[in-house]
Amino acid sequence: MTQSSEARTRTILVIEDDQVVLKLLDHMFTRRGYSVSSAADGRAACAMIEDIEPPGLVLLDVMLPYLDGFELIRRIRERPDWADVPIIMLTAKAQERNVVRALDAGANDYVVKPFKPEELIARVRRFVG
Amino acid sequence: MDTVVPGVVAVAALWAGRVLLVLVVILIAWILLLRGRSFRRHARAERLRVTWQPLLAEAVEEVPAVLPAVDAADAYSFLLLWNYMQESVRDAATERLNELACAIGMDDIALQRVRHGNVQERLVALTALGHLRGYRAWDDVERLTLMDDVVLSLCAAKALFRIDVGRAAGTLMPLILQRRDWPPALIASMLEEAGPDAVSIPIATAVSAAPVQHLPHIVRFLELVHADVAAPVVRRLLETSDDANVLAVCLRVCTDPDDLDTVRRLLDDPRQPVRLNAAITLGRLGTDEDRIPLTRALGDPEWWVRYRAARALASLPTVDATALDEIAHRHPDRYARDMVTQVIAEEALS
Repeated sequence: MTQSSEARTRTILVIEDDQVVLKLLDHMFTRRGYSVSSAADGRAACAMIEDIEPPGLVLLDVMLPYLDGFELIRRIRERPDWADVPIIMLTAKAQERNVVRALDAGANDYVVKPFKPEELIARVRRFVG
Repeated sequence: MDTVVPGVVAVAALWAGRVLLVLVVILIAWILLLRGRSFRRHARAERLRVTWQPLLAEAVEEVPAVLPAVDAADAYSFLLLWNYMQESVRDAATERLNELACAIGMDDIALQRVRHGNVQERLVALTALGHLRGYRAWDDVERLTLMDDVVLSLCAAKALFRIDVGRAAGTLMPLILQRRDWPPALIASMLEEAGPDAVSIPIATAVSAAPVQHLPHIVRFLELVHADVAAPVVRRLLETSDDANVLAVCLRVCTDPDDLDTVRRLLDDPRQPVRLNAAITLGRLGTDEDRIPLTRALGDPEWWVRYRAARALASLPTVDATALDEIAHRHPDRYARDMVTQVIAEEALS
């Protein structure tokens, strides 16, 4: 693995509109040596997807302003260079039916909010050890 | 005379103008004062957030060894942020946040705010005490469940459920019966969060003992009860109640095939909600014996009953696509044929 591809696997794109959760996730991953970039809504996320190199993992909330998580998965998977990027969905407990929809749409895994930090880290490590 | 009257009017107008000017200046000063206070309050809250958000994020995994003190004036902002963080995580992470809060004395401050704070402070403090499972706050929180303020009393009830779910279920069930001002959807949400293990027996007991006039209000919560606990209560009400709403709820909750005879009888009830829910229940529990009554119900005067009868027929294990198709072509009632055709189309799409 080259240095740049190794660096890429340690990057995580977090797409989450809740600022408190976003800061929490940023803190959790940054202290573990991941490089975290973020977007707070579907529209900003789409713009980022056009501009940046594919990250090692995308952590994506279902309910987002402008474009929801399902539509974002579809747009991510449409791009050949992003097609293999692992996606973990964050879904609210009251909407567990979204889990099936997320997995069908192309997500690789999911975490239910409120989440257990240890569980989330373990699921992320499966993809971006 | 002509010069005196205009002179008096002019003086009166002058004084009126001066008074108005003074009032306007006072008003502007008051607005500026309030704006200044609001600005300083927001700036203070932002400083607290900048300090504490990283510390709370760290505490979710490991409580920091050194923690800054929180000024009493910042307690409200801190508890607001802390509550938000609590509701973003679960299990061990919430315990660590509790440890942090206790380490800086926030449990005591929350209790003080519940006792002496204004409404906003009480609401935030109640939520915090619920997360902290502040048992020593029980009496103070319970007192607030009796207040007229619906939001405050419900928030206190929710906190009690979080502090001790078993004790709260027993304490609050009589109150739930009495408080018609508490929105049923919020009560249901609170009971659902408490979980069926804690609330099944208290709800079933309350429904069994409820006077007839209170039943329609409380019977809806049977949907949150474990099926085996609800079954005897449901059976008794299906056999004895004459209230359409009570019967409709009991039919929805009915899971015992031993009640099928009663359910079948209710398919012929004169009231639409009862027939509707009887049809739904037959779809869930029915047998081949129910083919004929459900086929008959396809001719019901109410659209929704016909629809549910068609869906119930499609759910019967012995009714396959061929059998449905035959009904769609052969039923003497045109509306029944239309309904079965619609359900066939819906089944094909799903």
